[in-house]
Amino acid sequence: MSAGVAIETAGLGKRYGRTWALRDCSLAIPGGHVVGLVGPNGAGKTTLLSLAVGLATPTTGQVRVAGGMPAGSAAALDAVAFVAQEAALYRNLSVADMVRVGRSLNRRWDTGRVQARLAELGIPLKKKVGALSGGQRSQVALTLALAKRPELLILDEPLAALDPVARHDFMAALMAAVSEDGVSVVFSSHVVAELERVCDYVVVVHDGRIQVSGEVEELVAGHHVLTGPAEQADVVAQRFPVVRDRRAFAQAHLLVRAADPSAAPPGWQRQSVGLEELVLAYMREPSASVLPGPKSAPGEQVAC
Amino acid sequence: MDVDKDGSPSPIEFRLDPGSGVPTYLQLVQQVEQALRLGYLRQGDQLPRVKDVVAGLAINPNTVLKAYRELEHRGLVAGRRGIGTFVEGTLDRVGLREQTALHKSMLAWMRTASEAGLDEDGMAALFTAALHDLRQGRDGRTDEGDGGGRTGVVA
Amino acid sequence: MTTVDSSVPGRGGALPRLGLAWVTWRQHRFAFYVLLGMLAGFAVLMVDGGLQARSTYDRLGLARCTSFAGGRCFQLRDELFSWYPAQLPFLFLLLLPAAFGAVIGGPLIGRELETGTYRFTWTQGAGRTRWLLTKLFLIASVLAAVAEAYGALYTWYNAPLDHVMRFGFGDYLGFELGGIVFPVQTLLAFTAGVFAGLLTRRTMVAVGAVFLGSFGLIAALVFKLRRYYMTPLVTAGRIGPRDWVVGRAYVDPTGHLLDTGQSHILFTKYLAQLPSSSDGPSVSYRDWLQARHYTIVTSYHPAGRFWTFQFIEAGWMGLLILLLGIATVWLVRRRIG
Repeated sequence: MSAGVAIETAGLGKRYGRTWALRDCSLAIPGGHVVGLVGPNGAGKTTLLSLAVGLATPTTGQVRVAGGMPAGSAAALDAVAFVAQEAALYRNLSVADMVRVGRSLNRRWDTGRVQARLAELGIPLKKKVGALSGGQRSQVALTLALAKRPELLILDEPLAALDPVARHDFMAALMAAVSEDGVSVVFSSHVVAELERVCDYVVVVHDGRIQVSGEVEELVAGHHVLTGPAEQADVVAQRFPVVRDRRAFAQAHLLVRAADPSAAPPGWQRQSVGLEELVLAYMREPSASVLPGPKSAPGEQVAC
Repeated sequence: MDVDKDGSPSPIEFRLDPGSGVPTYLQLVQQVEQALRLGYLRQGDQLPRVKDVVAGLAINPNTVLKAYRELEHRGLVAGRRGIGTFVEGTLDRVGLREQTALHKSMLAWMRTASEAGLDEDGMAALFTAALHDLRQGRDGRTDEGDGGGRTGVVA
Repeated sequence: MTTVDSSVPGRGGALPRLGLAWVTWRQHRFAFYVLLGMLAGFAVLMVDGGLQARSTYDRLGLARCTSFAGGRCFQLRDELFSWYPAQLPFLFLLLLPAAFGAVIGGPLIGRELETGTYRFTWTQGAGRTRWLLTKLFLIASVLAAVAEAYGALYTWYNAPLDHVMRFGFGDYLGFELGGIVFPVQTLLAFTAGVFAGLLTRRTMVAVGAVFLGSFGLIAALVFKLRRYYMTPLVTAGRIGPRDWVVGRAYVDPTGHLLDTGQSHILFTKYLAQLPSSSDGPSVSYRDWLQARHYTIVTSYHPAGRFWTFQFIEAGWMGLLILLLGIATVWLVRRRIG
């Protein structure tokens, strides 16, 4: 179902007033992934997602979604579902009415699925959306999004307002949908810790620019921490691109971008890194704008 | 989201240890192997459905697929399209007697190491390193795929 | 377990019939009920009053009168006039277009932006343009119908009095309620409310500003500006019963136009010569002036201009409504993330 790209941008930029929220960004996220879009608050995550769902119009460049449809076009609105921050639903409506609003506004709607999911979650249909717990509200928003049977599901900070149990349940529901429908998922988060379990693709945004974009497996395999005597650290740093450089007077830890760091001097220990450590390292060192190398998949490239 | 209530067809259920540092797919692989060794899983049994695992653990379905592929690669399970993944092979259980002998010789080695001045952590590090070498010698590849240990020494 | 609703076709299908209309209804039904409730209350008042007015009219035998210039018919007319409650309360009708328009228009987009729900609604398959156009069209239709109903009710209620009093068409509420400007004013306030909500993203600010602005504009039109739509005619003779007098001046026997101060002095002289008690014979100001060879010059809009004035007002307001509507749709389409 999810062949082709999920989100593809070319020279994309968005300016609000005088500040660029997103700048000169070209990116191709392949379909069939669960993509984590991470970065500090105000980095441009929401802007990128708003552009992708067509809520905002680009200042420069263009966005295509779900296999090449212009973002915000009628076809894209049918194929892309969006769960906005804090589950932007009508709080004064009952769950049943909210569902009917969703049905009324879409060409494609899976009523059976909505009913089954709400029943399974035990969400009372007569209750006002505003009277639900945060977790339930997010689940309703997710249910409405999935009822469109989208090819691409975009979520803006879906976990931000949820407690740990609700987070787990929400992610479980989302992952179940991925396994059932094969829907491509892109979600933003400023919490890095949750990513490792769910994401197989990660995009790091910093200060309006894309810093990292790639498959988690490749990223993790392509980075190592090298630990050795500090006096040799410069030699190592010359051989590999360094993402993070930690030195004491005797010892140095260098997080380098290298799939096979066997060119390190003898005696240097190498350790693989986890996704969380890797992402945090990039987020901490925006100046070390080391981008992963060219991807194997055709048409998949990063230049921001 | 209780998997059991959905009538999971599998005799086992997975759990995750987020702090272990072991990649998620490998934890699943290890748990299936463990279940085979301990007899929870027998030939013909079905592994938990991907959908159920995903809904229970909130993990990426590709991770589960990857674990099942790995198990398939190891010849332990086989996927049947549209039905599920079933146990095919068995893990050779090492005989109790043999285990006892190995345990004894390991203990002897540890005493020697202790006399040489190595503490427990030192022994563990040495063991891990040796295990790593063994694995490398066996399949002649680097551990970039992460074969369980996350530490190695650059040659 | 999960089946695609058979009544809803797949990709490339149509939106559910009346889907957007239902959304509009669901979101605005409370306002609709309030609107209808107020109209019903007003209708009871008007029908009851109008029926009584008609029976009074019949009882007084006003139907037999052909002229109300003087004599018995003049007295009967005053009797009917005094039967009607003071007209002042009905000035609240001038507030209605501004109130309805602002209260219903302000939140239409403003609340969506304020609460963030636009991020849900505008990313659904229907798309925001269609959503907006449906809402604007449906709500505008209801508002226009309700406003027109107010006008019709009041006009019916007031018909007996209007028949005997023969007001100038621009004086009084007749012009507001007897033609098409009342719904047009309402729609203007409504469109302005929608636009202001979009710009400010604050419902209450938009409602408040548009209510005050619209009411100010309507009041200014009624009391000051409307008379300048056309150049008034000028006559030294008498004017028709429904002509709208917008100015009066006096010319002295030598042919000079009196200024305001001089006119005032002239009127004071007239008052001074009137008998002190009310029972003595009195002479009308007009006759008194004519006896002294003064001429009265009246500037007025003839009664036939009623519909011209209606169309002028509806025209420029309609143009403004259209511009605001286009600007709203344009801004919503290319907005603002």
